[in-house]
Amino acid sequence: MGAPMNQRCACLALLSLLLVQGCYSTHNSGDRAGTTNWRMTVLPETPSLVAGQTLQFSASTPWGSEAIWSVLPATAGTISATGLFTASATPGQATIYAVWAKDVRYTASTGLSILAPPPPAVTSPNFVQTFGAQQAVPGTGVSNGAVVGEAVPAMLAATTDGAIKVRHGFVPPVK
Amino acid sequence: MNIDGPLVRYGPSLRSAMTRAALLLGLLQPALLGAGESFRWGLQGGLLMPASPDLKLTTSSGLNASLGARLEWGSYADQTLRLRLDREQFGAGRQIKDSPTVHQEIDTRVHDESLGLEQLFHQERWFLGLGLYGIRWTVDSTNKLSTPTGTFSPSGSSRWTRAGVGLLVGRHWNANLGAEFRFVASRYGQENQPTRVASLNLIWTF
Repeated sequence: MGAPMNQRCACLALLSLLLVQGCYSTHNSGDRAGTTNWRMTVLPETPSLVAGQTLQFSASTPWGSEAIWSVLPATAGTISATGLFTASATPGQATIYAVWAKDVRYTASTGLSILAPPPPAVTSPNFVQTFGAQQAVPGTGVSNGAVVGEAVPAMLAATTDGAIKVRHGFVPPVK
Repeated sequence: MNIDGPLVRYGPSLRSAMTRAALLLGLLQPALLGAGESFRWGLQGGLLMPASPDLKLTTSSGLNASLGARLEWGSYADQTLRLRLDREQFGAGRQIKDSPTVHQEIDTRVHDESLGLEQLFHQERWFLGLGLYGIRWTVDSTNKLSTPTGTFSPSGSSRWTRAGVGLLVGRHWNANLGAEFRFVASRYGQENQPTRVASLNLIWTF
């Protein structure tokens, strides 16, 4: 009877060690409610884009990047299964949400600003938009310039037979 | 969405489980060599109680039940080796968190299937045992995110296979009917959170 008793004691001692080792290593996990952006993240963070533009988002976790995407409010735009966001025409704020496809409890989010589109370009035939130019008055140190996109007065030049016509931006010199 | 994590992800966990299995099988060797002297089978069923913080979050304090079957080999007068298959179903759990921008509700339903080997030591009508198990955990989840401007509510299932160890004590009332209390420690989840489950089972032996 001595040998079985010794065996029992050895078994129970071993099991107690295993149970203690397995039971008391606790940590906060990212699959609990209220742990958004804890184990999963979305990039880019808080971007801005112009109405109608697209932007590629990516999600990451320590175990992979497969994600299910959504944008709230839904009127802010659409987001594809691969994270490609297309902004609607309405400026405003929105939030991109992503959950990890293999365990939907892992959650990430980022804010998003949709800006109003720029004013339309001037289309008058007497004006052209500059691509950047500078004009200097020789010997005076005075220069004159135009910023990119600025509408400036224009002149029309043409060959004598009228076959080639070119419209030039014109910036009056400053004295 | 059903998943199995890549094997490499569970490398340390598997090595640990294999070490445990080797130790346990070494202790069980005398019983294995003597198997075949008597052979019986039975069913068991009962109530579960999740006993670890994470499992308490993902389950409920409501009805948690288990049902299973087993094969037993009585190798010595006071020892039994048994192979055991159990299905454990936990009640649904719900976590709620509010922040200034979003209201989050995570609903989970957990169940597991376990296959294990147990060594029992008998002392008159009482028995004491230890076991080693392979446990297949499944968590069905819905993550509902509500803001003033809309709701996002994805759902999915996640699965992991982990090793578990158990300690049990029981009593036979007669040759066919008895009861046991079992405590099993394991891990589950993508971050290997510890799980502990206590169960009280009625056992029928045929």
